[in-house]
Amino acid sequence: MAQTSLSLHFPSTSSEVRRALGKICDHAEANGSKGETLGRLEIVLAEVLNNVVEHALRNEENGDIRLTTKRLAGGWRFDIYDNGVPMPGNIIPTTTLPTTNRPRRDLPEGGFGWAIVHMLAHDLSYRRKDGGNHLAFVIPET
Amino acid sequence: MKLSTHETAEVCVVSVNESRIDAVVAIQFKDRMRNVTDCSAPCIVLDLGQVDFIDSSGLGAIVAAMKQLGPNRRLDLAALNPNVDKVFRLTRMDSVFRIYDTLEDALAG
Repeated sequence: MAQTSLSLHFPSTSSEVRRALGKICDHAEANGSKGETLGRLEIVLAEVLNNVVEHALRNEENGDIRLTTKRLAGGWRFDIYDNGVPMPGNIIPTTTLPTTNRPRRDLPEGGFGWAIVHMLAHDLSYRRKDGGNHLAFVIPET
Repeated sequence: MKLSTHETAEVCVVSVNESRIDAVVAIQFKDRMRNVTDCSAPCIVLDLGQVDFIDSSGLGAIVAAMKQLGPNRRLDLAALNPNVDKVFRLTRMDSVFRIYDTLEDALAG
């Protein structure tokens, strides 16, 4: 039986995020997760981790990210810690999808990330503690 | 970011020879698209058959690539893998592009 929990610690860059996503997906697959769950897990993690890189740790030379994941009966629990600046207003952004019904020149090129996370993750929570951020959520198994 | 093109009088097919359009390559993708779509074809077909992952940065870069074509040229999408298709549907950006199951369908379309 493979280890069901996994911990990663990596520097805050988009290349390191890509590498971490590969490790997590391999781990989930080794523990029996299939295509749709893996796809959901990868996109949600990409959005939250790239948000840390681009916002929380944007100006940080020594930014680091810690991630743990654990197999639950109905999915995967993730806990993500970083030493960056807080979320604006100390809350998870509740972005709704940008509207697409507009002229081409005004179409949105961003603002999708948190909307995707809210649609695919469950039990999303955020806490600011000891000068860092802690985001937690569950990706349900399908 | 590897892109290859195949051009006819009416259509320029741009194939993405990468498995991911993500935050690592989104800006490169947008810049490369600006170069390869500098042709006169009124319709560009972006062949995503080799791409198995796209995130919101990659999605934004595809939208940007369409916008930089100006108002009179089209960017259609072809051969979306399930995870890529899902991101377009979730964000409702599937309503902004013509999306074809295969490259052949796009060229016939």
